[in-house]
Amino acid sequence: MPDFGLFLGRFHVLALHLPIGIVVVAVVLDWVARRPLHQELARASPYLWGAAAITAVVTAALGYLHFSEGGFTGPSANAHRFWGTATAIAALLSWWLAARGRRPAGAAQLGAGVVMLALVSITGHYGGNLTHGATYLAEYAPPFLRSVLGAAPRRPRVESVAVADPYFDVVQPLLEQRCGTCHNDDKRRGGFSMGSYDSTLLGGETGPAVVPGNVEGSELLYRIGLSPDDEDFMPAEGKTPLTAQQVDILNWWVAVGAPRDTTVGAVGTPAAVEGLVAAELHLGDATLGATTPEGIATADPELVVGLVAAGLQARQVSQSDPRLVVSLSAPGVAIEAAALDALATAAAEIVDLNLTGTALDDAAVTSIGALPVATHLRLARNELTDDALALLAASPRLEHLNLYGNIGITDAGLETLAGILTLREVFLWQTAVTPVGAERLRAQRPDLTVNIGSTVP
Amino acid sequence: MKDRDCLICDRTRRDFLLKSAGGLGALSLLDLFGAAQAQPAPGGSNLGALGTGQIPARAKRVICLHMLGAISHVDTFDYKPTLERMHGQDLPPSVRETQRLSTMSGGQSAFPIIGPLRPFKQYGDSGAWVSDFLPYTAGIADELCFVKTMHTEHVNHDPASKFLHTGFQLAGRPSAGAWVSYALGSDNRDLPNFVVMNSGVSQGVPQDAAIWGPGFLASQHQGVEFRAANDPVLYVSNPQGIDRDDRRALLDSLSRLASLQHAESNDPDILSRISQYEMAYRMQESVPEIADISGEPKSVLEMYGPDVERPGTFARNCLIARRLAERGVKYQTLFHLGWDLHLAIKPGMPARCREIDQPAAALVMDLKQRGLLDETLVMFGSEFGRTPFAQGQIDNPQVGRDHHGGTFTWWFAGGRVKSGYTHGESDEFAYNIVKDPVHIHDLNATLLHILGLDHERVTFRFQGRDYRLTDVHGKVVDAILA
Repeated sequence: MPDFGLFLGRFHVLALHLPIGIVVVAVVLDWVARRPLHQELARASPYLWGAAAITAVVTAALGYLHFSEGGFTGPSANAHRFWGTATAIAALLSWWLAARGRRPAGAAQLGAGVVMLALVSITGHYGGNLTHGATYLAEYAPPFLRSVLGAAPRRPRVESVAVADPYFDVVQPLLEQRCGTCHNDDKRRGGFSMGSYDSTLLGGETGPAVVPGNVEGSELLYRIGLSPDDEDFMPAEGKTPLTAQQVDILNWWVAVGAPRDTTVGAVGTPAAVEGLVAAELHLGDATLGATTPEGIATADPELVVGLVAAGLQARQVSQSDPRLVVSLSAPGVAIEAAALDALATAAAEIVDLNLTGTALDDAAVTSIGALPVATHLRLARNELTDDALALLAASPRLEHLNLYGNIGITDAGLETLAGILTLREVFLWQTAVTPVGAERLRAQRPDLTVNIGSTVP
Repeated sequence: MKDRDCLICDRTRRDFLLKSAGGLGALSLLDLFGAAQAQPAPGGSNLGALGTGQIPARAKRVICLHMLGAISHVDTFDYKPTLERMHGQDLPPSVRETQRLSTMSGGQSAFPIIGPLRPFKQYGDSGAWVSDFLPYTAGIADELCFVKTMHTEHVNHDPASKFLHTGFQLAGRPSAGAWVSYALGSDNRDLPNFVVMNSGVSQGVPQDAAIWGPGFLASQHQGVEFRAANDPVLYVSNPQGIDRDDRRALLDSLSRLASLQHAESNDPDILSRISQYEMAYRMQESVPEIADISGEPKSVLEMYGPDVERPGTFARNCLIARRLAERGVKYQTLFHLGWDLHLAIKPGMPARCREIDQPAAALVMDLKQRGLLDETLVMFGSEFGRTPFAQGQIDNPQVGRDHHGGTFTWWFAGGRVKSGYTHGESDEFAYNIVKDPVHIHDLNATLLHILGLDHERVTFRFQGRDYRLTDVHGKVVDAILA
């Protein structure tokens, strides 16, 4: 096939919209013209069906040219070709009926119209599967429709990076989003489909795409890592390239052996990659300072509204980091049960929590529960005791803990503090902690700054 | 009639033209950040126009200690042995060159150097040089980050102070505190976002509210002045015979009337006015509580020194500033006046230094023991420095130093700025900059950066252009960020 034929073939995706639209108009017109008031319209029918037939035949011809590019091998491709040809032929028949038939349209012509609508729909559906992948239609369909369409049930949304499946939750959706329009089971450009795990590894004409554990030997990584103006760069044809973060995720996935049916947590993932994956999955547990996607990210408005309604103030860390910095909107009053509930609901998003002077006690801390991403807890001038420390120790990223003015904190609690290995600063002024106890803690944890009050020298 | 009212009272001609041309007049930086953030803050919060900065914040609030009148860097932090050695000799013309002098010393025929008035020593692990004038500040040298190379174009107090606080030498631009209030609101809905306190005696140095004004921003962003009296905010208390319920009823009626007027005219200033009335009402309870220091332990009061007992002193203001910082007030500027020592610097310096040294150090250390220093930026300095040469005859006891903007020193503490660190270097006469100059615009850019704001992206459209605190200048001084 000469290049010019391939060039024309690409107009298939433009031309196909014409017969679809014209058929719809022709069918509607045939029905409307049956009413005496609109009889005059019937005279337009042969012209419309003529236009439908001509554009359908041209579209089919362009389709054959496009098909000859190769890569259209799956069942959807064959079905699309078959039904597209049938549509063109049926359109010619409809034209003939409309040109010869009586006016207004009789049963034969009306029936032909309905058949044409059906043909156009079927052909369109298979065509859509070719460009967007067979799962496109079913992706957001209600569950009962999904089963009708024969699609696998949707994977539940993962709640944290640690439990995400590296392939099914992270890599596959990413590949489907960026590569799926050309490399699916129905449209194997370059003989390559990313429709399944096996076909992704298998690759296409240029050999295996992914060699587990071998970043250099994986054609897929080589192609996406090229300069965008390179002839071999993927995604080709000016389609949206993968982001730098997505490239990093794929490199990591191949490097650790292209795992699936396991979890990101179990694979042993560096924190930086966890941050990337969290950002990719739009989860809140990207570490502070880790790469976050550029642009605006907004915290869940429901959480924020809940906090505000309970008398709390919630700010995002920044415009691109939706995790929350939370304090009382009128500091210095005792905290209420509603506020504790709202905090418990939003706990997974809170990085910095300031509840200074709110008559907070151990029970209140218990009811808030674990704060998985909190780095700063400012709980000064409250009624906490050593028992609360064990609960706080459960925050795996805690760096700054302010407990000054909690008279129930004693030397006995310092053992627990020493065990919070992420902790960098702790404030214990006006507690029952003694200078001796503080000194022991400093000796135990030289990296920890222990403040038990200042003097002006 | 109604239409005429609307045009006369609420719209300027420019306003009218702009609004009829598609509402462009209302364009502010909100438009740049998408409609989501343009929604008014949900009830109860005070998050400002942006709600959050463009970058993660290093600090949540600022306390600026402005030694108005210009503290002498030569006698406090910028130690130069050459000045001691050359005491009495003329400052070489090659150092001064053609730089602009103020009119006070511009006519002098000789420029005799006065060495530092007191000896300097090195302090802390960082070995920072500090004058004997400031023993308490010296004691916390390891908490501080000194910038020795601040510089400004201005030689007189009024333009230099306006330039420092608003980024422009004439009145009418928003103060840094107003910008921050506009962008980020505050962390307490019952206290003003931006508080100003004054202490000391001005001795003729001009100071006006334009330094803490809102400029073209909504008037609620103006700094609220806390005074020394029992009633720290003027007219906030109810007059005799009016109790809180009466006031509430009055405000409710007023607010209904104002809403009617707003519905008719759509003037945003009406909403601004209502919000200020409501803030004042809440301040009737929150402000007396702030001013009442009877709950402060004796040990804390002792940190700030004996002046803390007297309202209106710098020491008391530092204590109040700490109390406001604790309660989430976003921006505070404390002016201490009386540093303009053209005359009698020898008796003047020890007196002024005694007033500020212990309180400033206590403020830093008190914030530190409360775990607030990491989220509060404290900054200390002046609109410019003073000359290493004498104004007047060197052997006259009334000798002083003139204004000098070529290099001067600020210190910073907290706000995740480096501690025990010195940035920049002046020449051996503390007159010109040798290394790493930091312009006033750079200071303001850095200040916003520490609060999480990109100084190039906090803008407000007024009179047809987007204004910002740093105009078209300013570079964040990354070197001082920890």
